[in-house]
Amino acid sequence: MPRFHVQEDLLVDYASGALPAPVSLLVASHLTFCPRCREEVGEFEAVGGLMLEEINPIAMAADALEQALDGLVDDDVETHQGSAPPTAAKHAAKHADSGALPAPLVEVMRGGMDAISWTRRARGVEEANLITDDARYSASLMRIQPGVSIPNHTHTGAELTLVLRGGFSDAGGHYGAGDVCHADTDISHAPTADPGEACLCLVVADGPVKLTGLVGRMLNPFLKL
Amino acid sequence: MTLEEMIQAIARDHSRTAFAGLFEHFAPRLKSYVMRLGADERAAEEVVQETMLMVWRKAGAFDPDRAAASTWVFTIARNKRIDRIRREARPEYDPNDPLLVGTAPETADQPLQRRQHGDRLRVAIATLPEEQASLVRLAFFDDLSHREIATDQSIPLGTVKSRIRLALLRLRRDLEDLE
Ligand SMILES: [Zn+2]
Repeated sequence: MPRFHVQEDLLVDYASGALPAPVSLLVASHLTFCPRCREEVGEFEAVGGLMLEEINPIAMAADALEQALDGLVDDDVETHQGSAPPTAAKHAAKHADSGALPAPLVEVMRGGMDAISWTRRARGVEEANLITDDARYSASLMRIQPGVSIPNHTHTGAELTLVLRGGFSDAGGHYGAGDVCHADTDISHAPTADPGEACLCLVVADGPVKLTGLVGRMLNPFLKL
Repeated sequence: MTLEEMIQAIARDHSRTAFAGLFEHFAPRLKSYVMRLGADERAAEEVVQETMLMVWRKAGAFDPDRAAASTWVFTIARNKRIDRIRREARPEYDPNDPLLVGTAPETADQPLQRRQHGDRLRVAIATLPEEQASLVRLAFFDDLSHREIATDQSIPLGTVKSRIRLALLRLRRDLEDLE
């Protein structure tokens, strides 16, 4: 179980559906690792369910039910007994080339790890854009080679980092797979990757994407401009 | 028949009567929910139809021990609405992800406890002070993140966070008091 969790207000926004895609991706990926936060999201969703019960209903069009009944097909009712659900099989297939990564992330990566095009940020530090079409937030993967330190830096906006593989340490402590590190504008930190294995992180930043020039844009299949 | 039993009747017997019962109950509420989030009437009806079709298809995945019918239907409608607005599907954790870190196996009385918990939550929400109740409603029904509520109500983000937090904590405390 992770030691560093997603902030509660993000869990509420995840449950209500108000999170922009990049943040939702990070929260969903953390939830894959974290039964405690899943439990909490379940409670907030129950609040949403109760809100739905107490809302003032608005009548549907007169033929709405008839139309719905016309669309029902017996074979469409999915059976859930017996073999593994189709999503698990689908996921396992995609999983083969992306290592053990959370399903929502694999979904966004499409082509898997092999299709990721990395951009060098510093010695031993590479980054690859994942979601760049949100007005406010961006999501990227960051890979830090074993033992490498990212130079002391501050952030122009809030930044959330989820460890996917390996781990790193900064003044706040040690972060392993599933842990979330919150960095705010005024916090200066210098994370250092654990020795042994490269550290793979999902980074969601509040602020515009740092463009890497025309060539970078042409080479990067995830950047749709 | 309870709403939960209607969903189970779809999974078991493909019961159209049960589906009609669920539709009568949920469709007008879902329409109201989607319209409150800014959709026009036509778009709202479409989201409702898509949501109810998912209720039919996914009925077998519904587990009354894990969630109330209203909670389950709420999550489907929430996702359908978002998928409609965005090009891509809403990033969501997958309960069938082989990577999913599991919870401890349930004890026999946990499902019952969870159901009682839901009933208490209902009472707790009904007795929430209006200011707190309206913030919780804003968070769920006006498609606003905490940050946007802050701008909308001209109160600092920290204040919104702490007020919603207070409301949710109060809900939890009420639940514990009742236990
Ligand atoms: Zn957590």
